[in-house]
Amino acid sequence: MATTSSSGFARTSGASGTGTVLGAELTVEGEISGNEPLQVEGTVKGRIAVTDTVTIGAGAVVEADLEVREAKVAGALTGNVSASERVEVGTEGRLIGDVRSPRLLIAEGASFKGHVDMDV
Amino acid sequence: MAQSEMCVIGPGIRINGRISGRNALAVHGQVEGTVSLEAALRVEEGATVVADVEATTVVVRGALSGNVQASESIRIEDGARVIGDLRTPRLSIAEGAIFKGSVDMDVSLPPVQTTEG
Repeated sequence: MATTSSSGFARTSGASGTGTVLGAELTVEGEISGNEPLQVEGTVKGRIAVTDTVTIGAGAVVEADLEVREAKVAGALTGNVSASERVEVGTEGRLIGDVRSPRLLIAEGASFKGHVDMDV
Repeated sequence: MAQSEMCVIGPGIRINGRISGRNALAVHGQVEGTVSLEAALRVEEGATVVADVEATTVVVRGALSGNVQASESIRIEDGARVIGDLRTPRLSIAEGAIFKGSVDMDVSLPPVQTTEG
């Protein structure tokens, strides 16, 4: 098992290996809610409200508003993001939308268009 | 990603809407809406699925409410609770499973032998 997932982010050690994974060939239209880590490698349209970490994988296409604890964007995300802890846009990440989060990390190479509110 | 790779919807996740695609899917959480897969679906123990389902094979160990169409087979295991109409060429229902609905196995039965005439 590689230490780096296909999402482009290293897996947090100690995190349960399973969690929810929506694969590259899966499309969800609607609302996803819950309280455990979610990894999207496919397509999601709608809304994601998860009180944990949501990872948008490198090949993922997400058109949704996010209400999460932490968002890691390695793929393409169009929508507003509200995170209670942090938002991270990876080197290959593409984010179009407004971000509301106490911490925001934008890696070199990432593309981002939108407003930022760090709520200070 | 290989078509056979299993996706998981964890026990803490609820999806309200439409799920479609070619990845096999194991549901431990809650799904409401429609599920349309060109792959296998597993409704695991503890899962609640209220949806019309289309898949190749469907295995149910949790609660499934909705009409199910499987191109290959449906397996309802011990402890499962299924309410809805099933349409599939192959069906098994284990002892201990609860099922309410109709079944269409879509087989052409041999013509009734009549001795008249």
